[in-house]
Amino acid sequence: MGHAYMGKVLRVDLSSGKIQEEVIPDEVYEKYLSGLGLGAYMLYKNIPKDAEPLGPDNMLGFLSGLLTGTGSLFTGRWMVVGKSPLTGGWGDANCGGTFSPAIKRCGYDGIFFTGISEKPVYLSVAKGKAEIRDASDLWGKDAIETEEILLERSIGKKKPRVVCIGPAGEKLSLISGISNDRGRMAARSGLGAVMGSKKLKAVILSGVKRVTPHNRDKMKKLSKKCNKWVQFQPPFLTGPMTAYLGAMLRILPTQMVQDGLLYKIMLRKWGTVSMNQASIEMGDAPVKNWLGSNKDFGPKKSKPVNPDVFTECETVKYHCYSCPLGCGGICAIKGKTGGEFSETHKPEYETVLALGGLCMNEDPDSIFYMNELLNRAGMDTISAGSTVAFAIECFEKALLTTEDTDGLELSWGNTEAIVALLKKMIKREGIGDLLADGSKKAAEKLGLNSMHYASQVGGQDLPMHDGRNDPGYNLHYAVEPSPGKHTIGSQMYYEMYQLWKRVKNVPKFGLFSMIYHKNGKYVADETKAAFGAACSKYMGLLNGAGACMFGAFMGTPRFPIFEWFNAATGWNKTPEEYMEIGARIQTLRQAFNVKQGIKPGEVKAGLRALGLPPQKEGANKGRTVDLETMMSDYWREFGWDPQTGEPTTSSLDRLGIEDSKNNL
Amino acid sequence: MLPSYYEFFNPVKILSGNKALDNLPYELDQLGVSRPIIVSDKGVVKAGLMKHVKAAFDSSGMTIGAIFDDVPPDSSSKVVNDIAVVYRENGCDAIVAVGGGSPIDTAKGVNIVISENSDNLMEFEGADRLKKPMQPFVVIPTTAGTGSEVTLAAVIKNTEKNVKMGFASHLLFPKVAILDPRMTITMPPHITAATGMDALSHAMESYTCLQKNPLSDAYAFAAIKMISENLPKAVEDGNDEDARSAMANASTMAGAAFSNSMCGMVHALGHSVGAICHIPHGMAMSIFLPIGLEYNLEKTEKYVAELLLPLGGMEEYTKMPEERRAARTIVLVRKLQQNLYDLCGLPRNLKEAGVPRNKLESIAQAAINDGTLTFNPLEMDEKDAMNVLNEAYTW
Amino acid sequence: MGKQYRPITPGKKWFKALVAKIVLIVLGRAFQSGARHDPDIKKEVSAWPEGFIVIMNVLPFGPRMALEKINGRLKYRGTKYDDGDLVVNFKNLECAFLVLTPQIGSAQAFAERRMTVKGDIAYAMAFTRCLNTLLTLLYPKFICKRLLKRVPPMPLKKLMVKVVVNVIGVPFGL
Repeated sequence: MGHAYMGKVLRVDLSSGKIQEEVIPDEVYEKYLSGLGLGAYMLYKNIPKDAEPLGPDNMLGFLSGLLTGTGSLFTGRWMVVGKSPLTGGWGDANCGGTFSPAIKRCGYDGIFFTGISEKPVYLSVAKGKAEIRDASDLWGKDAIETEEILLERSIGKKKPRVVCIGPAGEKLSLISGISNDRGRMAARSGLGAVMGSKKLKAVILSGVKRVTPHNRDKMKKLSKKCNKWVQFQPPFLTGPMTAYLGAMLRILPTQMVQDGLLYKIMLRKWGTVSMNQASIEMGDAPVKNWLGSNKDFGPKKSKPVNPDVFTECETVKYHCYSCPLGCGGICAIKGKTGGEFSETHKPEYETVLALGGLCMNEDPDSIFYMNELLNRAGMDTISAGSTVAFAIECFEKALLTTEDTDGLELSWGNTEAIVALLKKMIKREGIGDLLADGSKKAAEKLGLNSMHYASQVGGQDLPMHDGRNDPGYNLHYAVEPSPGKHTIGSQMYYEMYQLWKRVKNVPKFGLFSMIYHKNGKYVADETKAAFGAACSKYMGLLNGAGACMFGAFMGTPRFPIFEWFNAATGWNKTPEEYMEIGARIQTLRQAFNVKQGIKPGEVKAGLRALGLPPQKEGANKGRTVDLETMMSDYWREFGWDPQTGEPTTSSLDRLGIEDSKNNL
Repeated sequence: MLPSYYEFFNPVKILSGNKALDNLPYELDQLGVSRPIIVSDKGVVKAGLMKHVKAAFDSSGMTIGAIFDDVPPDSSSKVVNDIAVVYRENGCDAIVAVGGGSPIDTAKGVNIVISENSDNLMEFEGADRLKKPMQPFVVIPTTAGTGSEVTLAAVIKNTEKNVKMGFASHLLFPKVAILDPRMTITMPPHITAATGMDALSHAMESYTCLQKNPLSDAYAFAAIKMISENLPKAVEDGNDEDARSAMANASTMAGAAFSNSMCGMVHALGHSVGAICHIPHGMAMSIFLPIGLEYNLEKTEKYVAELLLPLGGMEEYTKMPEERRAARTIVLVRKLQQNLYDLCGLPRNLKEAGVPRNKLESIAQAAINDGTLTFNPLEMDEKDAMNVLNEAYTW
Repeated sequence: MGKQYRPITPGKKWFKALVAKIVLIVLGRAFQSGARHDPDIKKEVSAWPEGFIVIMNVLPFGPRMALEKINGRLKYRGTKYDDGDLVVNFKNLECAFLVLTPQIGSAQAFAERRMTVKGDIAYAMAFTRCLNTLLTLLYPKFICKRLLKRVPPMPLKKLMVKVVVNVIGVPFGL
């Protein structure tokens, strides 16, 4: 067995109750790392073609990262993988919190579930023993209650770690996620429904095994140096002033290559909510179900959700495992919610914008309330917000009437109706049943031309980053095997990653290209495809390592991911070789999709998100994204078929993914 | 509100209802003629409709000068000239057109050639170019949609130059139009649906386009009500004579409305798709109608909202708050489309109609050169047209 | 003595005729200049065949104005031709006065049937588009708002064309 990883996974068949360990050969780690890559390896091998996502054949995996527990920083993210019932293809979601090291402490790199249990159960691993236990009494409880009960029951010195689903997952809502540490969510791809379909309410882990990195001193040294950058925190703007930062980015015709250190400073000060106002102003945040612009939700309307509002009620900062930054926080919300909830995780940017600007909702208290409501229910705040916005537009366009909505007057910014609708969605009551599976499924059932109003890609609702402002987002929304994710790449991410400072053969920003005209961003050329491909590969690496992109935003010179890899594993690979691993992970996931019958060429955002027709006013006025050109260029970068997006035999050969060829 | 100025003209005598066809000889006699030529197409003959027409002449003392039943679906100047020869050879003195849009337009062309005593149709292309009095002209429509029986225009293909010629003159109006339910009863469901949507598009565009006026509004309003109540019935059960009769009337009213108030972008786009991809006119109208209404909403919201009453009925109208009535009208048009799609597979979008995506650009270019666009409430340039086509491509 | 009935010779609207005449001259020259400097008009005109003649005519006998495409350029031809490939007729002098002064836009005039067209409708549409562009070059925005369905934005480039057409186009026909 090598260093850094545990070398085996736990496999649980919920139908038969059989639990066994599976040893993973070392070369698998060298080819796919752990985390997302190991997940892709396992799922590709074990999920048969055309498996029903909510059936017994689907495999649900919880994975730790390769670098988790090795002494590196920002590397405490756990991943959940499975065939997504939302998109019909590859599904993954990841989350910080506390669960990633817990998996490794039990001696595994991942835990994989197949089959369907007859009655609700949970898996407990303690003292080296795994067992399936009855969870009938937990079924129906919300995510936080479930966690509290399970922790109360446990004995032992070390506090166990829990992941679980809430009522949304139990009710098979396709936009439900999996919760850890009182409401931190692996929310996307609808994997909560997969867990619910397996009747698996929770997983609770406690263990004492340790990870042994190859060179502990080197790890320490690297982490120390990285931490210096994290601690660099000069005084910064006040919350409402961030709006002007965004406005400046909108107004200036030229732009400087973004340095993520600035973003790091904002994240440390406020968390992701730091971008609330700036994003709307610069055109990064979609407004009014992608119909509106910064003109509809200007600084005055967005001021109630300025970053300071969220730090004012923050009682304590929240750090995920191994994170020196601490972008999270716990907010006291008793006063804001009429006493119903006492605290909540600080709402994330995505949550605030999805339930705020996207629905034209100006009430910040309602956002805290809905955040806790959705966390407890185990529902994805992005998809929930986007689906509510979809419903509001359908109501405005008279596709839905008060008869359909049980009397709810679903107009833009009607906070009461929005909250009431969310509650219906969580309970799958009335109109809520129609909407609980995301906007695409709702549009399919509603019929007529409602699909035009659904802001989604391949079934997954779009996040709060506007591809009309940075076409890179639109590219990744479409080409990513689990579509509709904002955590993969964009031109801004590429600039911040500063890959060119470590990796050869990627597009460079030099001294003379540090400042460029913004128009250049909107030309779909091969450089953009190269940005995209590099981002995808790099994100594959980060997700294999269990790393957080907020650390990576500081740029490769300050965030020594390649060096950490080598020091932790004892391998001696070049950055280019690691990028190749990223490519391999991406290709295998794409191959998974093709095997499951996804036609990559047909997975695209709706016309509106591509700027068709272009917006008439606001930050993204007149912009259209030539997605098709970008998509084929991107596929060409990977050596896949530029028309269909399917991995070619030669690209599979080159990456050594032999076993998958038979399935293509 | 009255427009600052408008013109309205509809001189066609309408005979509608049970055994209306049998009054044909009487009407011809009133017009002072007794040897009509009957212009029709093979479809009419195949459907067995010609026998009704012939039977109407039994024991009437009149002679059918000739029956020309070879009009192709795309009428052309050559056919017009051929018919004129038959007309002259047989000493005919009136024209009776039996069929859909093509035989009626062809007959209008024949009337021009005969009355102006010329063999060059091209001379008369354009508006108001005819001067001489026309031959008595009777129309018996066998579809319910085009409204050609009450319009002053005809489109005929120039076989030599391979272009479409447009003719418009108040002299081209038929003298009499006969709406006999027997004549539309054999129409197959998908044609019933497409032509019915054509009529709906005439009525709705006429109610919202630039030269809407109180008279055309009244016709359009009544037509929409009848269409929404009867189109699905007529598609579902072709033998429903009441529904057939209602559709024939609605189509005529819609025709009278739009030929006076003119139509807009729905027709501009529809003509272009028809010309480039050979999509039946009614089908194209159906696809573009809701999108066209939506496009113009900025200026026509009030009118579209008013149309909810005839389209959705009193209950729907009163229940819907004022600000969403226009939107609801459009939703109901789409619901009707969906209904027709379920009943007979009438395409709901360009993709289903089989239009290749790469043709959209040339369709957009053609659309902005279509004359009807002048009467559209809002400007539409090539880019706008492209956006509309993109939206119409899928649902 | 009974009332005597005699034919009446109608008077002449010399003022309105004069105004129409002047406006048609201005319009003609502006058109010629616009076709040289304005990219939108240039694009439309380039699609017309060589020797193409456009006439704007007030029924029944003038005033009128002709434009002809010679050597790829549109030329103002005064009253040289009385028939062309595309003839836009005003039904009477009052109609022409309304449109030319400009109290109503061409779309409204067509809709109200105050103007009729002889010739290929596709060319008529192109001509109308040119005419609309020309209006934005000749008149300020508040007038155009009344005449056009949509007033296009006036970026700096267009503004320069506007100055050129007004300063040297109309007086000198350049």
